[in-house]
Amino acid sequence: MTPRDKTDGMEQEDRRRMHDEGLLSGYLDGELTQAEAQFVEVRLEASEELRRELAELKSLREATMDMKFAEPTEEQWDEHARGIFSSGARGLGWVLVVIWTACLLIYGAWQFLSSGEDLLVKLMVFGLSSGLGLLFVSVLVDRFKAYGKDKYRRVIR
Amino acid sequence: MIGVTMNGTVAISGDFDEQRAIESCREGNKEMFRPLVEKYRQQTFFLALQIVGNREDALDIFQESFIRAYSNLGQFDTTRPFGAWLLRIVRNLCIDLLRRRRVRRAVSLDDPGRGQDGEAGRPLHETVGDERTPSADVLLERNELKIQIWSAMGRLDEKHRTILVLRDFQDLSYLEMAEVLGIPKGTVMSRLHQARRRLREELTRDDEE
Repeated sequence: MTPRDKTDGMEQEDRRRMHDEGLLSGYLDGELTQAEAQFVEVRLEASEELRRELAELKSLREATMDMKFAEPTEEQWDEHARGIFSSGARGLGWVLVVIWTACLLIYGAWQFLSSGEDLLVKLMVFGLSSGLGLLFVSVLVDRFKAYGKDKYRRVIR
Repeated sequence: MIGVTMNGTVAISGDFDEQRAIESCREGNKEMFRPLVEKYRQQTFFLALQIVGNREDALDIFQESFIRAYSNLGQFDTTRPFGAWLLRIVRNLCIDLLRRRRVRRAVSLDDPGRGQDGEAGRPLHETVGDERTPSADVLLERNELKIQIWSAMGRLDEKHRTILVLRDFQDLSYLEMAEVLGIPKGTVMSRLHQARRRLREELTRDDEE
């Protein structure tokens, strides 16, 4: 048998259900089953403390529901809505830039290698560009590895 | 016909076929996404505003949530409500923002030990610093009680604030809240009750001070 709380006539198990399971809020919002609602009503009859709590929660909920918030202006809506519809074009734009830059570089390299330039010049240009390319790739790899371990990566600088 | 209350809840009637619009968007007709933006723009904005507490961030979240929704539309389960899925995206973006603010604040306080556990469940006033505390400017009517409640809500942790916002501002049912939060209905009920009790405690504390 559960011990009875002498202060408000509610048993501890009932109190647990009311508060831990949130039956009181469910009752307030009309979200309980018929059996649950009856359970709450019986306890409400018996406990003044519970009735007081329900009344407080009810007035708090009414005050909260009555709060109104200022809307953005039409200009602000339009500006942000435009961003939604232009984001796809922007993404596609970047993809196209990357693809066509790569094509242009490959074409340029092919033209240069198949030109009548001296072999020594070709070797020097090839050496320089491949060195720069390797440096760029190594920096990218380092950055990528560091990113996973960077505990401040979410910080907006 | 779409009607929107000042709380940002949406009442829709008439012949807008949401399912059809979504199918059409999936087939590449981006223009059909416009009615969805129109229908849900206020609800997404107000939810973000009520969670993060300021208008600029809420507008950014409104925009980003629709960008993400559109790009992930292929993964959307059409048997589920679109609105709940969208609000879930909004809520996740709000959590991301609150986390970023917390890390930024931790760094600005030169205390790198804070803000690394990945939890978003801290009170808004702790996560954002004084300059970002939810401002009463966003309220249309600013009587003492409403300012007090808004300020007290800002001191709740994200979990409790969000559930209060979904119920009392957005007027969602427990089932809809369960869908948005991805938790069982029973958990919604108990968490909401805890949140209300926490809010009441905060207000009582205010009265005592």
